[in-house]
Amino acid sequence: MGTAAGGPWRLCCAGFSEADRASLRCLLGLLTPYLRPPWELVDAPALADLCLVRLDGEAPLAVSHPRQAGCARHPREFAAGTLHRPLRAPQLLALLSATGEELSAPAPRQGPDGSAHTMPPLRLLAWPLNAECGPRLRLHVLAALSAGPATVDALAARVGASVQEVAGFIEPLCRDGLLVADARIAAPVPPPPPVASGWRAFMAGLGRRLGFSVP
Amino acid sequence: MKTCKLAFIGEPGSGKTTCIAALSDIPPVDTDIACTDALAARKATTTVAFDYGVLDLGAQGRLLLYGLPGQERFRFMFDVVRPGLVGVVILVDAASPAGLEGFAETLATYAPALRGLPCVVTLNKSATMDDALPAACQHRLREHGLLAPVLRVDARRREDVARIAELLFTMARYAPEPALPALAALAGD
Repeated sequence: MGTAAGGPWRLCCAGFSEADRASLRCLLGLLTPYLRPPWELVDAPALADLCLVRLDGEAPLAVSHPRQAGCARHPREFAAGTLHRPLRAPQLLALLSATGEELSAPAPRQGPDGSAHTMPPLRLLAWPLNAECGPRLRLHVLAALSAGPATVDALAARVGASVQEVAGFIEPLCRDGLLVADARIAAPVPPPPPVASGWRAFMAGLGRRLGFSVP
Repeated sequence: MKTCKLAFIGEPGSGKTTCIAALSDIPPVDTDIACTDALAARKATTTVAFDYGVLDLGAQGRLLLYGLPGQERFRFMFDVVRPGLVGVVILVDAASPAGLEGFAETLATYAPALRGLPCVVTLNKSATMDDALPAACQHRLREHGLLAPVLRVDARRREDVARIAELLFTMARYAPEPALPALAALAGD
């Protein structure tokens, strides 16, 4: 996901306490020199390339992520491969290195638009009630999502922005339950925006009459 | 001359005629008649067919504006207006206790036809509305599987109606081409 635009891989953690998250963030910083590309911590599982899931929480977590790893205080009580919690640097380094290699494999699943999709498409469930707040780019991201499910990479290409910019708008929508990653959806072919001269001229004419500019 | 259409749909008193008047270059052609039923308690006249207005964009074409009643018995008019439609504005009378009920009726009537079309829900007369109304409208949209922003507007203000038009055309820009043949025609201009 992130590396499609040259950025870091993304890691999220489900069921972690604030202290665990802070510790993980600190560990990622320490491991950065050993990880190519680096990893960063994000909030929304839908945006992450790998999800760490706490297995020994008070309530079982229903996390459905295509690439996840369990963590527990007593890992031997869980399936093989479960990491110790709090996380230990060698274990985490091994996991992130292996996952990074897997993600960087030479034949990633190609989307119809040619981008590498390591994550399922995102499906908008509802527009936020503060739709008009924020920069105009956010409206374009929402408008593009209204047209149908899309990966972050495809969205970024459609609205003409970086993956990081788009991810910044996506994360709060995921947190609010307005956007979900849905692995059952095949990444659709994003229709090209109608940028031909007639359409742009019509929009520009409308904008002149009504007092808005067309980017 | 290229033309596109916008439709304003809503219950009586929701502000369809006012929206069209805010944008149109000509006095809106209306089909308002005096109310003779219970509606007379809320307003003197109501639309019995569709309202019509035009926004002239010079060499770029014309935007045709239609106001359609939300009730099921007027549903056939949508099919008349549908060719060339770029988007739909659903108006809700936010000051009326029956506003949400009217919105529900509009959705029940039009939801299947609106899927795939850019659509915006506008809460008109929202100064004194129930704070829970936007979330309630969002919930109704989700029940019908429709994706549309819910905005507060004053239909009397041209800038508010312009905001709606800008948002609808932004949504139209990303809509799948088969849903909007009007845009395909423009793009091939």
